[in-house]
Amino acid sequence: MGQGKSFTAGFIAIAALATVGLVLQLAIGPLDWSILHWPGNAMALTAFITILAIVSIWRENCRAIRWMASLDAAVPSLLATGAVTVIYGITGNSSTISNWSFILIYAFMTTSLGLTCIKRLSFRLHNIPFLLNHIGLFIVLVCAALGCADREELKMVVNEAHPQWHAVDDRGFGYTPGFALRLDNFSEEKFISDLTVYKPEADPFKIKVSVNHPHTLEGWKIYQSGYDNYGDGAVSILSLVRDPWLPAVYAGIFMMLAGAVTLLLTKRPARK
Amino acid sequence: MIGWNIFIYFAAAAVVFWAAGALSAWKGASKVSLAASSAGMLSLCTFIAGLWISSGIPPLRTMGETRLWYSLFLCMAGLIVYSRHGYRWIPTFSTVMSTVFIFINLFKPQIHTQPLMPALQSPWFAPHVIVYMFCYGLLGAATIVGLYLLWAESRKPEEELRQMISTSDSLVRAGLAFMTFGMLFGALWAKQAWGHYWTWDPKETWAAATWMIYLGYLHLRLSRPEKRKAAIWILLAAFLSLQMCWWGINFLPSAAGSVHTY
Repeated sequence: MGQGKSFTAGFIAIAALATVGLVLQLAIGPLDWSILHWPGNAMALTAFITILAIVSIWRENCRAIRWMASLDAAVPSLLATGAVTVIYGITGNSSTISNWSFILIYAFMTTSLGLTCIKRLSFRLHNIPFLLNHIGLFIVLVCAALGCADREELKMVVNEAHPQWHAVDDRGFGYTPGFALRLDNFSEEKFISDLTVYKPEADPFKIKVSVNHPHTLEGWKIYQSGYDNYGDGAVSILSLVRDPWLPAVYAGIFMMLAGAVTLLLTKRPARK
Repeated sequence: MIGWNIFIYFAAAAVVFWAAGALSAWKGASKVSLAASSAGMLSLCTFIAGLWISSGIPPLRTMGETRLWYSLFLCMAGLIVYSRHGYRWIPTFSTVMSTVFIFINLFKPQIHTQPLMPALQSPWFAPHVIVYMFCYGLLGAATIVGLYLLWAESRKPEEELRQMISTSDSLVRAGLAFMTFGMLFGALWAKQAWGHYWTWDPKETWAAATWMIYLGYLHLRLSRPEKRKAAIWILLAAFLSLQMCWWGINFLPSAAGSVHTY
């Protein structure tokens, strides 16, 4: 591909993806991220990485694949991803992340990133900064997107009158997480809930939950979310969160942090 | 007790020292310039430290307080670039920029003495904001290099232009590293405080956009060093996005519910 034209090719590809996204949006509506729940997301992840690996075999023979794994695709895809994110930032419309054009442009950037990671997969010392930054970001993007359907967040409203066994999700469905919480005291000054935990066939015990100090219980993390005082007694609103993909996302985040350290310690790579 | 009421003395000392540093850089006295600029920073540091000690919390909460750090780190970034590359105009630039922020603080003091809101009471708070301030300082410096390059494009010899843009590359590289720290510290903190590392809060959205655009700049510089002008325009666009992220979103209706607007 001609030197000057390969950026243009990138922008054309991105315009095409945005158009396909628009058509999809009109035809089938926004993406319902919740359909990607386990094991669908694990299958999607395996399929995505397998396809990237297989496609990489033909890299040297296929100009388009070689281009996707190059800086010539990285520049337009990064700028386009930045641009759609700016649009999201201006409109502030929370449905943007379910918009097909937005998703396809992010997916294009992620695909280019993944193919580049495979192309540069060497564990020589000078390549470590590259691997930390790029594989780290790849892991964060893919696992955060695919893992979001498995993330559960429940609201539990507790009061001082009796133990609360029920919680609801954001669609209003009720759950019983297997333990009950009763509010003993709420400190309005420090935003701390003193709680008693009840479990079937176990002695009650006391815990504290406050902003920035969640408490882990039976696989759930309990966060202080809100508080109200209705005259006849205080209620504290707690968030119960379970996110099985979190360790994977954190692995990516810590790789990126280490990568940022190497950015400060090393010189920029030589130009080709 | 150090408070905003005596800020003007520290500010005046800092500005006078910085101006002396800028002047001596033009005269070629680099050691005097470095010493004077450092003395100016020391004055500002003393005020920040005093504010920190007398309130017991890091002064990072209000726009007024973050402007103090911006002045400080802008000057520090200028000092590092000047001592490394020796451009005579750098201390002048950092002096003007730092002074602007000091004047804003003098004329629009934001004195807040109320206790910190619970969400901000976290060990992540200080590192999150300090690395961002450092990043803003470095990228502010890179922006000025970019503006200079736009002006110098047809006026200065090619060799100087190449040197200048490689300065900008180094600044963006370091600035982006600090931005990555800031963004990811923010993500880890958000998980701890609100239960999720990323919620597309307006500040997060603009931070992600800014991060991508600066990455676009660095990758363009790697792939096509000869496309200097395009790179500079991307650099300037990225800086605008950074301004939106820093304070612009406070004026966006879509950001009314942001967890970052206090």
